[in-house]
Amino acid sequence: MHSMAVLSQKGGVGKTTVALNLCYALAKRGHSVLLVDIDPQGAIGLSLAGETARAGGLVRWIEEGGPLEDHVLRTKLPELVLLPLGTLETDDLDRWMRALADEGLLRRILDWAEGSFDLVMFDTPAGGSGPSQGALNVVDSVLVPVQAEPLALRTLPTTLRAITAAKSRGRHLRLAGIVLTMTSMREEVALNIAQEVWSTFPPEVVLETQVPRDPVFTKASAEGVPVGLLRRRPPPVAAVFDHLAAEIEQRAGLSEEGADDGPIHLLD
Amino acid sequence: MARSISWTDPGKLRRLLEQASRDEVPVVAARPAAANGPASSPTPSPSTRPRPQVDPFVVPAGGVDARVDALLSWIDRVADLQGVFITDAHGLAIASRGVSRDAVAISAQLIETLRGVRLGLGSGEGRLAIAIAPARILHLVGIETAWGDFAAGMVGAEFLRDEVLAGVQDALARTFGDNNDE
Repeated sequence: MHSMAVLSQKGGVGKTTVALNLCYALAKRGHSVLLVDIDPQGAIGLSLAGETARAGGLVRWIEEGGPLEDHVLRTKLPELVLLPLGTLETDDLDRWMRALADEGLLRRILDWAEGSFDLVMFDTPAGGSGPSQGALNVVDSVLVPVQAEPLALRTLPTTLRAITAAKSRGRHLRLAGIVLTMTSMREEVALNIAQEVWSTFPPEVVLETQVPRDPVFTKASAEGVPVGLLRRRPPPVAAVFDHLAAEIEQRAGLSEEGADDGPIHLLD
Repeated sequence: MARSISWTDPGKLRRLLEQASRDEVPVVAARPAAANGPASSPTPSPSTRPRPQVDPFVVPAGGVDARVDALLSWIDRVADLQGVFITDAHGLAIASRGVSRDAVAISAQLIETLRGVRLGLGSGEGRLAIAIAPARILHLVGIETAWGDFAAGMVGAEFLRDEVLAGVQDALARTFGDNNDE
């Protein structure tokens, strides 16, 4: 089993969009995936229509205990399971920030998932502290979305430092990659930022896939679905996450070639 | 050489990436907090009383992240605060220390209000303080630069002195000002 955190110092870069749609695409490729929301905003639950309240999520599990199985949400895709945040009392946010940052809690989730899932993905809040720090203490790798605008790139050093700091504490942590988000190559600033990222970092770090700025994401958010489920024939941008899933699959070691794997002839 | 529109130093980013990607990183002692600020930074006083003077912010060498780090440390020193954060024009946090997300979340609307105040006054000045809970005062000061608007949010138990707010505004300008491209 592999564990990964989607991490960014800056908010609004598309972490939740990437986490949700990537997990959906990976599940479609046959990997069993647990998506865990440790962002106090509870954005995963807010992004999905349906009875997310029927699962208590992390909050109720922390408060009431019991089997984690009772607090997860099974989806229509059997390979995709969600552990949403649940309903959080905002007047006690500091306590929840500490609770969600608890390394022991996150390890208990990983222990529960071991053997049942190929990948556990943590959607973290913006910033390198609190739950994000907790995730860095337990995951195997980190996926860093960088929005194609100047401020996002300016905050990237802070994210890289947080990864380095975690490694200095003895963590075996890998950078799964940097994924450009909200790209709009017809806009000069976005194009310049993409070029800065491409010229600064080696190809093995920057993922080939870039997530474009597309109104379809707003539409999918309004409908409360991953873009791949927006309609029976998904919009073109949904294919972006299939591409991203194929890249992440390799980087997370989910696609080890077996002895029986090889070219499949089209004709008998 | 073409100027980086993100103000980032590619060489520094590459070095950070190397460190983040290295398999084994030697265990190092935690950097003292004062290392983020100017070398001559005084030790923070535990006193909660307002100080008579505000030391000017000294912009450290390095990229914008180093400057923002130093700015947060400096604000922490000159004001007795529960938390501090820096946001962009949309109220999205660039960096924060010790603040809850609700304080950052409401700053987007308040920054818009602040912008209206500045427009109404016809000046770049304009600060805002609002009591968000008992003994929790949120102060916002903003600046306009060629790179967009930035604001500093400070949450403390008491209203801050005008000298402190003016100092923070000046420090913001030094951190994000137009002369600060690398």
